[in-house]
Amino acid sequence: MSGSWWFRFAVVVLSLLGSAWVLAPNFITTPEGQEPTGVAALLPNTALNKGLDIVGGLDITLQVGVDEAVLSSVGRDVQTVRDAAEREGIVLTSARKARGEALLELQIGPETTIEALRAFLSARFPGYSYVGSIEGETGEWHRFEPTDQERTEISQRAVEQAVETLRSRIDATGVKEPNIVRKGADQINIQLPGEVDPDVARQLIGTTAVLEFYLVDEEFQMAALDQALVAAKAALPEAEYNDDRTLNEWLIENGRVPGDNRVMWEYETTAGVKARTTPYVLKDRVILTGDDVNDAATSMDQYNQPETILEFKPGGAVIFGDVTGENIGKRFAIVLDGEVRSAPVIRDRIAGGRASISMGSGNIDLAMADARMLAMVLRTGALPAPLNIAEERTVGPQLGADAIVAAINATLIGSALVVLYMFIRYRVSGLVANICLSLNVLTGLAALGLLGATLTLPGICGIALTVGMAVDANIIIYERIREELAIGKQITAALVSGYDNAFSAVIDSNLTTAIAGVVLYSYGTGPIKGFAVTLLIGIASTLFTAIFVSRTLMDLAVRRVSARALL
Amino acid sequence: MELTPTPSPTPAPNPQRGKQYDFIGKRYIASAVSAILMIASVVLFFVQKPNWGIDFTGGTELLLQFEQPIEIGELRDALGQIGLSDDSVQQVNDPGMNEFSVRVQEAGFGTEETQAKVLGALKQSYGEQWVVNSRFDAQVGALLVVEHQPPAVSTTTVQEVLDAAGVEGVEVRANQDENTFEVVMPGVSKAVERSISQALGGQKFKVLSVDSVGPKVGASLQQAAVISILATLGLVLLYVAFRFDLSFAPGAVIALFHDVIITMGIFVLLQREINVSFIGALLTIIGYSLNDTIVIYDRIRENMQRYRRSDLAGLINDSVNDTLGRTLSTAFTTLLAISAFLFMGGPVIENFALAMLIGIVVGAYSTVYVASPFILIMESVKPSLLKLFTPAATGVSTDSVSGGAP
Repeated sequence: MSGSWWFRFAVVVLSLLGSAWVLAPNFITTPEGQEPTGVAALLPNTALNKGLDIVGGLDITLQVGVDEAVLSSVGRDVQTVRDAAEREGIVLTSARKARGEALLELQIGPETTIEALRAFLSARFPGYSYVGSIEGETGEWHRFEPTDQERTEISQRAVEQAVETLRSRIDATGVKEPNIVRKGADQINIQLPGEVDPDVARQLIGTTAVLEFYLVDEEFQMAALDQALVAAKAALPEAEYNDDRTLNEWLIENGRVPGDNRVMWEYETTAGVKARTTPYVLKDRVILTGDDVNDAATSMDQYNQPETILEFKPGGAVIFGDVTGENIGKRFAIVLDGEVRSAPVIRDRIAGGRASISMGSGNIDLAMADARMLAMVLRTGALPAPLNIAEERTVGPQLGADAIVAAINATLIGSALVVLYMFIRYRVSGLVANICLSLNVLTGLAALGLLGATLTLPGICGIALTVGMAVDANIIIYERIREELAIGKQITAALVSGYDNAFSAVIDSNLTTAIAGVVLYSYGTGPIKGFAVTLLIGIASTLFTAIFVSRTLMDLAVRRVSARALL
Repeated sequence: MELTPTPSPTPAPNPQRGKQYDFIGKRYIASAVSAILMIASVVLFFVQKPNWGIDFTGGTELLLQFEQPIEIGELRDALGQIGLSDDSVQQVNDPGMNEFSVRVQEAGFGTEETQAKVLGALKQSYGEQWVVNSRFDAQVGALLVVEHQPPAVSTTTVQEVLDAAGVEGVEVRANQDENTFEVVMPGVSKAVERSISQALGGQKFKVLSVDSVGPKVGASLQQAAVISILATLGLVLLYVAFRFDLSFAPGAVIALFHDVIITMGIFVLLQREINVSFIGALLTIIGYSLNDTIVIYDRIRENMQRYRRSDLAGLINDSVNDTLGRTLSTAFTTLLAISAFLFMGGPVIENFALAMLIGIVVGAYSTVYVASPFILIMESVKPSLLKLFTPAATGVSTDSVSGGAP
């Protein structure tokens, strides 16, 4: 045996041992919660990931409502534009988002020209472009819409933020080893292994709570407010009076309430009907929002009612401390989804950055559930856009367990038949091919473990298919050697030219199969992706075993057995 | 990666070979057979209509296991009572396992009642005129979008209203439009489960798996399936054109196309479900059948370089014969591996294995009878094609193309 042969042989043995080492964690397992001891502690962290179709679980694809994200982004920009305009001397008499459309609608005072407005927007809000002006009841509205680039950015941010939010929400539910990934431009795929209640999905995507803190304008007289509301009730149709937006517009336009104020209500639900109770005149500037909340939890207040306790982020806590310090004796209002939840009097500077929201009296279970939901939403942040379930697949653990047994049996029997056939047809060479086949499957599985790829049910089928196709490379070579023998070559020479001549066929046939595998990988989802992975890995391990390993072993065999026995 | 073949010590035009079969001589019969099969497949596709799975149509599929033996007819009747068609239920696995799959393609199935309840409860609490508009959105977790009269109400309040009215399993959530909220309905699977257990009265069953696909997703998956198959064929065309010869590439691709169409046709004929994993099988068949074709092409390429090409038909026939042992052996070993899955791999994998099985047989046939003879056609039209593109060039011989004359 030449030195190069020994070297090749060493590579073969090392790949065998390496694969065994990588695969060992699948057999030597440590019970959950215990520290691995002995051999187990030395093993690499390369146990095979089993797909949801094997362990059972929930696979959901969520569609992110990116259009809605753009809408709400425009809605948020209304206030920002208003503030910036004030600083830059642009007089905006009114600013709003068009109903149901991603359009910013602005009205300007006589001091400001449309050119100045456009210049201001293109300088400070380059994400908007001017689309034209329309006549409204209260004058001309100048309309601006987000540019395509801006829309794309908003959508992307929305999807990324949704992924993060979902991740924290899932962590909060305690599901182990979740897998959350973006899929395409506007979808998110979530995989939750194990026995998962499908309703979890609905909990995850539910509720976008909008929490805002305002200061109450204590200078505004309650009597004046009462008069203003009486006048508004008389002047406005009932529907418009009941709508906070139209009511506020009327109050401001008619000089009943200053332009930088806003009236909001506390509500009460009796017998399922919710009605306004106390009105508040608030300074129309949001002090803090739900985004400033760091952590939230539920507890009981002094009246034994559920409440949500929140803790601000450091930045928010500073603002909260400053604002409360400057406004001792006044009230601040906690507004959730447009309703005043409570308006406590500021007794002292609140430095700790904590606040609580009472859930009110009534059904205590419902209130508790509300408090919990609010705490979760505040803790994890609101979803930037509504999510809808586009695809949902549940596999019960029993189905997966039955299926994997069937799949493994099928693989074993299929492989056994192939091994038998190869031995009958090619004798000693067939034996070599079978050794290669075993090493092929072993290195293939080890590669799966090393890459952290997921083994799915079709993936196991892919392994079986690899077994069937891997011997193809051996068959091509053996048939070629037989041909070379048939034209009168000596066995050693036939071996050399057989391998050489078959090389291009083996490479080309495997690379073209890989083309299909790569497309399959990018097309498929979940289980099918798993199949593509095992197919591709199988091709790589086949090239290694059929060309390198089998050649090494054949070089050995050719010296030990006669040509007749060899092939 | 090109290897120079070891020069054969006996460069006889026809080395010693085993029994020879005349494949190429039968190419006209073979093309007729292939053409008929392909046309039949296409006709079947449009006449009999494929049995599309929910992956492509959208809908919900449940796999149920009954505790007690139950006749499929009994289940069919029960499903008929709740408005599901006969073909929505299928027995899977062994009859003894009492496993059935139930497919519902209507995304709003079972939610009509809940919709009516929701709207009823809202009208009762807020008045007849309160709901301005409502529409049903066929998502998986079906949505009812309700636009109402001002003032704005919080979702919590609406939830309380609905809970108080006894509407179960719905969740109210905010919508971006003013004075609008959404009611998320229980999934179709829940509705189906409930309806079946009511219709069967007391028969206990377990839900082994549930698949739900939204209609939009279905359409995009369908599109992706077509694109991925065409993309694979395109890549193959390029690879073969570069690695072999331009005149080899169309034959390979047409053979693959042939395999895909006929496998599809057989699936339509058998009314087997066509779903994402079937497309996966088709792509694998492309890979496998190509593997086969490439081995023969490799031999044709080698023989073209080695021998005179006066008799191209003979040369191709010899090449097919040279590799015949390998073609059959590999087809056989792959069939062994796949058959094991077909017969004992379980219901999930059965369709996939069947598609593979058909594909392997059709693929082996097409390699010998479609891909190889096609080179002959391409080589014969090549001079005129070349003339078409370079009108000035005259006397282009077939030999000038491969440039591999000894």
